[in-house]
Amino acid sequence: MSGPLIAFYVIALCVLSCAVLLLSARRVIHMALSVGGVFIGCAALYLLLDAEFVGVAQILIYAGAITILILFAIMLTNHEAQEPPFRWNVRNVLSALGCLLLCAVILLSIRRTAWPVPDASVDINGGNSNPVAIGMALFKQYAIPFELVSLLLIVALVGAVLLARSRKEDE
Amino acid sequence: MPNLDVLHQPYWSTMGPILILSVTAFVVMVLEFSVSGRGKRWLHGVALFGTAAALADAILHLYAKPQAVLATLQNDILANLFTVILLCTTFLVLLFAWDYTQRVPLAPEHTYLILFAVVGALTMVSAVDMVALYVGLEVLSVSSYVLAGLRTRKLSSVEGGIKYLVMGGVSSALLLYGLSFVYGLSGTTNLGELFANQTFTAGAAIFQQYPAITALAFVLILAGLGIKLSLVPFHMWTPDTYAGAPSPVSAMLSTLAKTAAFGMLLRIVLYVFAVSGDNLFYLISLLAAVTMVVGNLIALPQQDMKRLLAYSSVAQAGYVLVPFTMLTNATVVDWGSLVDSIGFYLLAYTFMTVGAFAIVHVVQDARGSRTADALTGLYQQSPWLAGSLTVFLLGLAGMPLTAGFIGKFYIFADTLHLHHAWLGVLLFLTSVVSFYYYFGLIRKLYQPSISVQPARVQPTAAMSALVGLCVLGTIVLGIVPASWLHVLAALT
Repeated sequence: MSGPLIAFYVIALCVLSCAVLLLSARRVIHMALSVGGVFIGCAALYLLLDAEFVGVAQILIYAGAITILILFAIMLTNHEAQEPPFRWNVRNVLSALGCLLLCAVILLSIRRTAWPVPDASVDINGGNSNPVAIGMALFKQYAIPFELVSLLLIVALVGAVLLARSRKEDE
Repeated sequence: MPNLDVLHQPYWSTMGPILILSVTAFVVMVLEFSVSGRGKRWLHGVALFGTAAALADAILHLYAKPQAVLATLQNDILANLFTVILLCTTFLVLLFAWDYTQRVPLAPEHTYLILFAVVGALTMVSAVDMVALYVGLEVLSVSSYVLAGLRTRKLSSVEGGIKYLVMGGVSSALLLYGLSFVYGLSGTTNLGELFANQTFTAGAAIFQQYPAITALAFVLILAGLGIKLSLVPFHMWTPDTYAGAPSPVSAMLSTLAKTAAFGMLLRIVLYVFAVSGDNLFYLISLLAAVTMVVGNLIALPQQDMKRLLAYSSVAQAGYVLVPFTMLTNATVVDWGSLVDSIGFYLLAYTFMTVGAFAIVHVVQDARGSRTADALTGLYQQSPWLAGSLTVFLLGLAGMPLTAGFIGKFYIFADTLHLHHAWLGVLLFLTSVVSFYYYFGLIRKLYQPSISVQPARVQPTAAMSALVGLCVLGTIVLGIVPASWLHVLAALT
């Protein structure tokens, strides 16, 4: 086993356990913390894939800004919220079975496929460093979706304000 | 000297309607917070004007030579056709919203949220890049979530909005997972490139090389878009959301959002899967069959008119899905006729559904009830509204001389021609079932009211215009189908 492979398994284990923790936590604040763990683990995976820029951006934006934002949102609202304890009932059992089945199908199809391996000698960045290649893709090939994302942000912002504001007027 | 290719692209001829609508949306947004009081009445006027301008631009460029901008947005047959349908829908929905705000208080921000949603929808039908397709879908969805939950004082509106948000999130996740598999196999997000690779290189079709993963991606994409199209078994959110949302939004969700999702499905199926995935398409026919049967059967006992229309829209989506199943064993020549059937049905469906939602809203507003009984005696009071609702319901049921009949007839003819007769027969049989519940409503319309004289129903000018346009559309498409079919035939 090579170094990167061992690193991959360790990181993947961390990400998965954080994700399971997120789902099993009863308090919102614990969920927020475990989501931070997932973000940091993903950043490590990006670094492992030689995508340094994406990895660092992931830490800055997701692990840093977004997790903190979630924590603030929880602190400013009701941070005592707890989910009711989990109970096995027919619906939960059926959902669990469905999930297991889906997991088995996806796993089997992924394992049985001989995935296309990119030619290692071809530089996918076209000789540029990571940030330059990302900039090129973002502002040339993906310029239109990039602009549309700004519309998406406006809609989300306006929507959040609209829904929160009218609720306040009710009180 | 830097490379300036990016600036020299056919932006205007390719994405004219999108640009016009985005600018209109921002203008309306700025107007909304700069004018106060009664000035806000004109927001709908500005929005309608922008939509009309975009529609004019789309019609002018209907037969333009296909071009692409940055290999992302394209003005080919499919895009032009769906753009025209979507903009007609937007016009009707905005008229509806205008009428609605004269009776019920609604946050004025909904005007530009609708426009932003349409920008997303237009992107979904004209993008040939998976990233742009997905972002377009998200713009449409996020606006719709907000619009559906806009009446925050009404519990049902909030409930519907939340349900739509959660299901929409699941849908996006499934779709994105499916698209990521397609990207992983092909190494490109560009559908045009993917299509060219698959068609012109022997044995390069992704389904031939990686059948398992391609099937998985197909199922995930179908499920993701199936939630948006509220196909059975992904339809659970539909009645609650439609019943809770403000009526113009319900009309928008059942027409505009579905048309856009159908456009996107058509694009993905044609470019990614139709090349070689013959064995996958029985899944679509299965979905179509289940949707037609279950949608019509659950609609039978409904008393709430908005819920009835919601289930009827589920069933109608099943009818539109039928031509999709035949895309694979059709030759390229037949693709044209299939796209024609889809385009015809969607336009006809839009007129009938928006009209029906509008009249249900007027009746509900005047009489304070949404059950079918609220319709009694409408004919004596306002024969015009009762007659229009009759036309819409007959159209949805598929009565001859209405657009609904012609639409169903074309789909039926396709099934016979392309050896899927069983789906055609099922379409016919389920339509017969649907006559039962549509006629239940029509009977109520012409019953004299036995009890006290019900409240008078007075439509506003915007409502009259809307109903008039919808009736005109339903009847003209029904009696002279060539008017729209010729446009379609010349396109394809």
